[in-house]
Amino acid sequence: MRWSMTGVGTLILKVNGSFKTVIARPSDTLVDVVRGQLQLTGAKPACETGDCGACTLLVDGLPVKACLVLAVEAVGHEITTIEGLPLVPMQKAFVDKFATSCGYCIPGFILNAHALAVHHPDADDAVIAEWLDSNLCRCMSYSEIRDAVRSVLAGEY
Amino acid sequence: MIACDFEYYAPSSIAEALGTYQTMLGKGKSPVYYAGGTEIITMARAGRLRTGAVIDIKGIPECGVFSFVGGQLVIGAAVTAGQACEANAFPLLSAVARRIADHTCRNRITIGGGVCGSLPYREMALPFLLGDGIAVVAGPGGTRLEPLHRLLTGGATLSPGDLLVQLITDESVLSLPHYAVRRVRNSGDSVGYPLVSVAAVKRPDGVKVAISGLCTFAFRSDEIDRCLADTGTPLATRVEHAVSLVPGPVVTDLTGSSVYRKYVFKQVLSDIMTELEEVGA
Repeated sequence: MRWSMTGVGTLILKVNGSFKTVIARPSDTLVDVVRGQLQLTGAKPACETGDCGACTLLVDGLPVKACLVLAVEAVGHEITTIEGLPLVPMQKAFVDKFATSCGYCIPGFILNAHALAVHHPDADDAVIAEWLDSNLCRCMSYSEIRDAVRSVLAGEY
Repeated sequence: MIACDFEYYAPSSIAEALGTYQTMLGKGKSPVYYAGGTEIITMARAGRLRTGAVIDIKGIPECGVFSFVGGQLVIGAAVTAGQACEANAFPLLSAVARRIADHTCRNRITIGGGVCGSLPYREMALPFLLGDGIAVVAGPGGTRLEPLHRLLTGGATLSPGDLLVQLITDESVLSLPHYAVRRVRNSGDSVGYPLVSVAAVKRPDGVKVAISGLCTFAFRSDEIDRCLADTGTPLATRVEHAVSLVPGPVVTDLTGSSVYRKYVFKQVLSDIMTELEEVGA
């Protein structure tokens, strides 16, 4: 057995480059743990059904919806929240292109878009649309967000 | 937040997973195998799934395989849809998987979950049905190979405790001309559940289709394939006949009535046949 967890216990998570100790149940989701215990509240628990992307985090560099990940699964993996993202071009582009709107969904969008820029720096519009389809913005700033992503991929930042 | 408590086990081998399942079953914990977790977490949060133990299969080496072995593509049950799309070793699988949920969710949704989950659509199975896919199933009696179509249409079953380990597809299928169409209720909704989802390949003896959304199970039908291959009959007649050969009641639900589903299915079949019959013609 690699390991098991049968009740409330201690987990050591690597979050934003540092090891953090949390107390969790095996059924606690990652979004609840990073927000409730680590006070990293950039990830938002909005729909909690994997639809909206407001809770998006990076796990080993890939975007995941933290409402659909158990905290216990994240042990041994690198978790990045918006608080741990160094000032990257995508953040500046979101500001410059007025893509921030109310801000609620933006941490998820930025993490997702940052991962896109890392993994697919040559992404075309179809790939950009495919990735951004994972996040909802109720302020309807989709065109501004798309412009921000395009500008980063075009090397403007 | 998930209201119920469960225990979490991460076995490192198939034997450990099977043993843990039986132990938890004996304790009355209604165990479930777990990989991507998208369905289990969502249902547990909604109170529609109660389990006392989840058995995470992601650490089992056989479940993470994605490789060619002896002219066959072997894909582990814990491989994610996102990994399959990025690798693009099975273009039809990429085409189908790319339409399921959204990109971020596909970083978690697994091939095994897409085939064995409780949702009836099982779109991830369509490419494997068309490739005469073989399921590697581990159970208390040992490891066995089952044609995937038998698992999906009732000819064989996964018993409690059986673990889908891998899916195997012949390499020759991967390069066949293919087409995949997915229709949802609202055309602007790219991530909804499908009214009808159809994947197709063109083999030397005709176009073969595999279908999801129409019935309560995903299927492939030799009768439908034979009907569609009868190129001496006008396409509209073939499509009309194919609809009458669907091997079960067509679903009526909030997404669409059976009448509407059949209408959409006919359009989809026409599009597929038009596209693929021109290939190599």
